[in-house]
Amino acid sequence: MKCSRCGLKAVIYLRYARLALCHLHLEEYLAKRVVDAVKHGAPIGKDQLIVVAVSGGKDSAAAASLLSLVKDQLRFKLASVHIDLGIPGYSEENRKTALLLAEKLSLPLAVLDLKEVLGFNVVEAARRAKRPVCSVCGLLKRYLLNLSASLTGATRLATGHNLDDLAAYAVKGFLTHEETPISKLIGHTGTVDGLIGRLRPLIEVGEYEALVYALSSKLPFNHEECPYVNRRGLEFRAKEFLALLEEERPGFKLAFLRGLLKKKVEVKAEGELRKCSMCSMPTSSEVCAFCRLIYRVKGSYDTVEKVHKYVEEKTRELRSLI
Amino acid sequence: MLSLNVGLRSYMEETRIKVEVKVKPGGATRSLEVKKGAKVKDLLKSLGYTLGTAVAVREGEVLSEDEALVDGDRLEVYEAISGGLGEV
Repeated sequence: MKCSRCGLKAVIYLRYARLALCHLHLEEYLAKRVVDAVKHGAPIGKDQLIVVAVSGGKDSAAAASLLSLVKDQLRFKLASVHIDLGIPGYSEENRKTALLLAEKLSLPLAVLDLKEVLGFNVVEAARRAKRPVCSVCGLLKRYLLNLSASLTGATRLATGHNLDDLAAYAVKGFLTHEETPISKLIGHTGTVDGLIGRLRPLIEVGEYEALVYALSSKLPFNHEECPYVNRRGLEFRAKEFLALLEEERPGFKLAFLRGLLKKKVEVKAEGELRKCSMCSMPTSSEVCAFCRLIYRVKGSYDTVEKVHKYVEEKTRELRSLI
Repeated sequence: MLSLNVGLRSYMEETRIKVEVKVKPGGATRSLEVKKGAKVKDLLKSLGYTLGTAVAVREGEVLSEDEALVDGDRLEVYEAISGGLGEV
């Protein structure tokens, strides 16, 4: 199969666009999608900073690479953060690939090591909190990524969530009668009171395209699965279902997501934002979920201050590299 | 009867090719026989993948779904669908 643009050997056939693309033209095609995602919604000013969360997987590798490619054109600065969750047999490889990726893209990187801050990994934190690993993992990542982006002076926190993730999230929200997830799908949101606005550069890039791009660009990424992933979970099943629909009706996923984003969904406020009485980060309750978790796993709030000092130190180093 | 069996075997050998795949994540390997002239998409379908959910790689080179397979191919198949959504 030859590239529809230049006639060189194609690496992908995009059925929904009836386009065969070589690596370079796939990169160009995806970069345009990323530019649209960055421009959409709340504007990013000249020389403002985007911090991209790099997990070690294909999606965040593709997001970081594509953001890196368009940063001069859109005149923003880019830095990255990786969280080492300490999951044996998994996190080591993720950390290694995040470091290799940062080197390949000449991207400043801060690595936050959970064991250095808490004294144990995410699995132990979940055991002590008597909560599922994925729930604790999500909470810790959300908090630490927001805090590090905030302390680095970023105006946006970019993640590798792609079209399939977001479409599956919407389907899950529908199936479980949760209305709030759909409101979270907006490409990016503005920064409010220490809550750094999200940017999802791959919002219109499918998981398959991101994978082909990461492979054909020879980006370092870890393709092994987290040992705690649930392949029978609703998100996974939703992705399989959407893939079947996409096979029969090319373009369905993109049209579905675009349709959702056009809808005027009222965002239900979970409560007025105020400052957490322990850490001063934005929350809708007296004490934020992170501080409550720390109390459950450590027996006191002392570690909260230690976490902030640790992240401050790491982000100071990161700022000096930007 | 014997000559018919020999003829059938020889016909099968001429019309089938052997391919070895290593699936990622997990690293499971499988040896398969596919029709001569089969394409990457035929292989992925025979492995049970929906189109657009897996990518085949030969010696580090990404293969488009219309790429023809050759006898003795050793491919890596990367599954595109990943599990949890992390923090959306």
